[in-house]
Amino acid sequence: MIASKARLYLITSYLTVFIGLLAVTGWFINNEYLIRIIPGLPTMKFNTALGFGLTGIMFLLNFQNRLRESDGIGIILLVLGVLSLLEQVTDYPIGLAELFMKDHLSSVGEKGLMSVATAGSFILLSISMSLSSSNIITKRIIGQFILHYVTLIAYLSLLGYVYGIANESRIGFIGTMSLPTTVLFLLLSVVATFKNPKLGITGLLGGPQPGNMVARQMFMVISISILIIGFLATKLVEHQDISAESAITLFGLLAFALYTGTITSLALRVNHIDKKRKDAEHALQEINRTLETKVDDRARAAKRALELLNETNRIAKIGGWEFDPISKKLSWTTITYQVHEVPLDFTPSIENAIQFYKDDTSREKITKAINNALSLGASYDLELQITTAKGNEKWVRATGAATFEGGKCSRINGTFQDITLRKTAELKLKDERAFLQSIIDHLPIHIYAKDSKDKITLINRNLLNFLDKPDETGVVGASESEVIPEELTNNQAQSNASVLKIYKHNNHSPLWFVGNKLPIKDVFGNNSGQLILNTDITERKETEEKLKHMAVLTAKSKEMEQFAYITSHDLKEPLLTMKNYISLLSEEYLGGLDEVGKRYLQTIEKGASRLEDLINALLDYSRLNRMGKLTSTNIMESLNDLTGSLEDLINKSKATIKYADLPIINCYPQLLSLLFQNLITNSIKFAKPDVPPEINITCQLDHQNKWVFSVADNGIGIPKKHFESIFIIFKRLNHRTKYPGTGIGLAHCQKIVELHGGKIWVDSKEGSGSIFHFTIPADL
Amino acid sequence: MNQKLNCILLIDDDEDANFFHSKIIKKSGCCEQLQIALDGAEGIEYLKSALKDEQPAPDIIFLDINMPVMDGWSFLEEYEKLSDEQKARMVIVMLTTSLNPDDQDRADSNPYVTAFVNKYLNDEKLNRIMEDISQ
Repeated sequence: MIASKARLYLITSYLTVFIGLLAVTGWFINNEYLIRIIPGLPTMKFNTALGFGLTGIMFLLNFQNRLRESDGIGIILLVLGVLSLLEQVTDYPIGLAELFMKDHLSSVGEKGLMSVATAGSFILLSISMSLSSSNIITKRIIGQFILHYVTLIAYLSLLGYVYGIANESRIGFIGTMSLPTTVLFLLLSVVATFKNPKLGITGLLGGPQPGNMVARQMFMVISISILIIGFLATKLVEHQDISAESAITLFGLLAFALYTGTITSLALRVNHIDKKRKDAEHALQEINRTLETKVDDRARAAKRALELLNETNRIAKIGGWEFDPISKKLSWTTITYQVHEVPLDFTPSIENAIQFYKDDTSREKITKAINNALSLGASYDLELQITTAKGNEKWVRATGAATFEGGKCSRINGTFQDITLRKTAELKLKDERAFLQSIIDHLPIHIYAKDSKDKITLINRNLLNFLDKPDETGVVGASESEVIPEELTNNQAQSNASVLKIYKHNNHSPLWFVGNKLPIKDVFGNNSGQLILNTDITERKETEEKLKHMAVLTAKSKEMEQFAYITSHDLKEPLLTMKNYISLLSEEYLGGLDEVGKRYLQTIEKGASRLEDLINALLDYSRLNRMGKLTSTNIMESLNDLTGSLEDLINKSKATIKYADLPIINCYPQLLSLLFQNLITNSIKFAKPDVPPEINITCQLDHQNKWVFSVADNGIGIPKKHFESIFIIFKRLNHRTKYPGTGIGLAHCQKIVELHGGKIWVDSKEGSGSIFHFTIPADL
Repeated sequence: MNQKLNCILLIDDDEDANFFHSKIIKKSGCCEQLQIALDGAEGIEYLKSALKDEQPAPDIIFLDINMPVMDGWSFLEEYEKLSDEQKARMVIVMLTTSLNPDDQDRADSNPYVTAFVNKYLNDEKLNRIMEDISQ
C-alpha cells in the first residue's frame, strides 16, 4: 500500500473505532449528543456502534496482517449483521435489538435494531475483508467488487441526505442509515479497497495511464457534481424559486455543460499527453534507429576485425591459450589445436600441454616460465621445440602474461605460434654461416671484410693469427686502420689485385702478399663494403728467387761441364797420338836403346798413361750429369751385381762385404752403383796392411724421411782435419806410390749424392776404420 | 787366324793416325789391300769408282767423324744414296776420339754402322772387330 493511502486507511480505521466507542459510551452514560453525534439526525444504534467498533478493530488487525484475529472479529461482525438482518426481515424477535442496551430514543419498531442497509454493509464488509486477504486473485476481485457495492450503498444514502429526501422516499432498504454511518461506510469501503489498489474501480481510478486519469477526473466530477447540482436543484425547488420540471431541466443542463467542459478538457489533455507520448516515441524511435545503426556499424567493424585477426592468425599460425589457475582449466584456440596436431575434442591441461615440449631443455624452460608467471606475474616470450601428436617436430613461439587480482594470479593467457619455417631458416642460416666461417678460417689466406664506414665486419682465423689476436674481440667492429697494418690494407692500390710487402717484427726479410679487393653488394646492388683477400706469397717469392739463382748456377755449371768435356777431349787426342807412337817406338826400337834410354822411354810412357787416367776421370766426372732416369731400385740386387763384378778385387784382397735388409729406393741406379763401387774400392784400397778388409753396409730411415746409408770399414781411417777436404776433386792424402789413384773418387761420390738431393760425410778415427754416411731422400 | 779380307778403307784426315793404323793393320795381316781417303768425299769417290775401274771394293771402312770437307756423318748420308751393288758386303766402323755419348747414340741408330770404336786401333781392338765380322 502506498504511504498516503496507508495513512488514510489507518485514520479511517481509528476514526471508526473512535466513533464506535464514542457512541457505545454515549449509550452507557445515556448522553444523547454522543449517540447522535450530529444533532437532529437519527441515533446511532448501540449495535451499530458495536459493529463499527468491531469493524475498526478488524481493519487494524488486517492491516497488521493478523489475519486469524481479523477473520475472528469478522465472524462476530457477520453473526451480528446476519442476526440483525434476520430480525428486521422476519420480524421474529430474537431479542438482539436490546440485548445489550435499552433503546429509549427511537420510536417503536425501530428500537435498537440497525437498518437493513447497515446490517448488510457489516456483512459485506466482514466477507470482503476476509476475501481481500486471500491468495486467490478471483476471491480478491470478488472482495473488491463487494466493497464497491458497499460504497454505492453509502453513496446513495449520502445522496439522500444531500438532496434532503425523506427517509420514506428513499430507495428500499437504504432508508434509515444515519449520516455518520453513511460517511463511515463510505470511507471504510473506499479505504478497504486500498488493500488491492490495482483491482476493480480502485485499480481503474488509481492507475497511471491516461485512461485512469480520465476515469479518475470524470469520476470525481460526476460524483461530486451530482451531489452539488442535485443539492442546488432541490433547494431551489424547496424555496419554490423554480418548478420541479425546470429544476430537472437545469440539472440536466448544468450536468451537460459540466460534463462537456470536463470531457473537452480531458480530451485536450489526453490528446496533449498522447502527442507528447508520440513525440517521445518518435524521438525514442529516432534514437533507437541511430543506436541500432551505430550498434550495427560497431558489430560489423568488430566482426571484420575479428575475421581479420582470425585470418591473420591462421596465416601466421598464431594461436591463443588461456589458463585459469583456480579451476586449473586450460583453453586453446583452434589454431593452437592445429599447431599441436590434435583433434578439436582433445582436452588440454597444463600437464599434457607441457608433455608436448621436446626433451628436457624446452620442457624445463616452459615449466619455469609458467611457474614464474603464476608466482611472480612475470610474462614470458620463448622459442621452444615441441613434438606434435603426429610426431612432427616443430618450433613454436610461446608467450604468456599473468593477470593478478587481489595479489593472486587469476589467469594467464598468451599466444602460441608455429615458427618452424622461420626457425628452420634461421638455424640453416646459422649453420651456413658457421660453415662459411669454418671455410674461410681454414683457407690459407688472410680474409677480412669491412663496411662502407671502414669498420671490420668479418675476419678469418689465419689473419687473426697473423695479427697475434686470440679471437675476434676488439677486431670485429673496430675500424680498419686500428687493426690492419697499413701495408696490408691495399687502400692505395689502383687495381683490384696488387702485390703488398710488409716487414713484420723488424724482420730483415719481407713478407709478400697478393692483395685482392672485392666489392660487397647489398640486395639492391649498392656497394656496402669490401672483401679483402691477401694471399701470402712469401714462400713463392723466395722460391722464385732461389730458382733464378739456380738458373744462373745451372747455366754456369753447364758451361763448366762443357768446358771440362771439350778440354779433356781435345787434350786426349794428342796424348793418345803420343802414347801410340811411344808404343810403336818401344816395339820397333827397344833393342837399339841402352838401359838408360829404356828407362827414359818407360818414364815417358808412364807419364802419358797417368795423364790419360786423369783426363778420363775428368771426363767421367763431367759426364755424371747424364744420369738417366729415376728408377725404383732394389739396393740388395744392385750390390749383388756390383760385388759380382768386383769379384777379382775382392778375392785378391780377401775382403768380406756384409749387407742385409737394404731397401728398395728411387734413384739413378748406375750412379748409385758407381757410388757404392767407389766407396767399396776405397775401403779395400785403404785397408791396413795384412788386415783383410771388412766392409759393412747398413741403411735406415731417419726422421726427415731420408734413407741414411752407412759404409763402414776397418781400414787405416782418416784424420779429422781431412773430413771435409777428402771430397775435393783431385785431392789426395797419400803418396801415389803407396795408394795409387786419381783423387777423383770421393768427389764423384759427393756429386752423385748431391744429384740425388742428399748429403755425404765421414766419421772416422785414424787407425780404426772409417764410416761413410750418405742420405737419399725417400720421397724422391 | 781369321779369314783374310780383300780390302780395308781408312777415311781419316789425320795422317799420323792413318800411318799408325796402317802399321797396325799391316802387322796383323788381315787384308790384301789398304786404301786411304783423307775425307768423306774422297771416300765416296773411291767407292763409286771401285766397281768401274775394277779396283777392290773395301770389306771394312774405318770412318773418322771429325774431318774437313765432308765429315763422317755427311759421308754416311751420301753412302746411303749409293747403289746396293756398291754397298754390298761393306761394314762400317766408326773410329773416333769422340767420347761424346750423343755421337755413340747416333752411330748406334745408323743401320750401316756395325761398330763404334774409340781411337786408336790397337791389336786387341782390331782382333775383336775381325772376330765380329767373321761371325
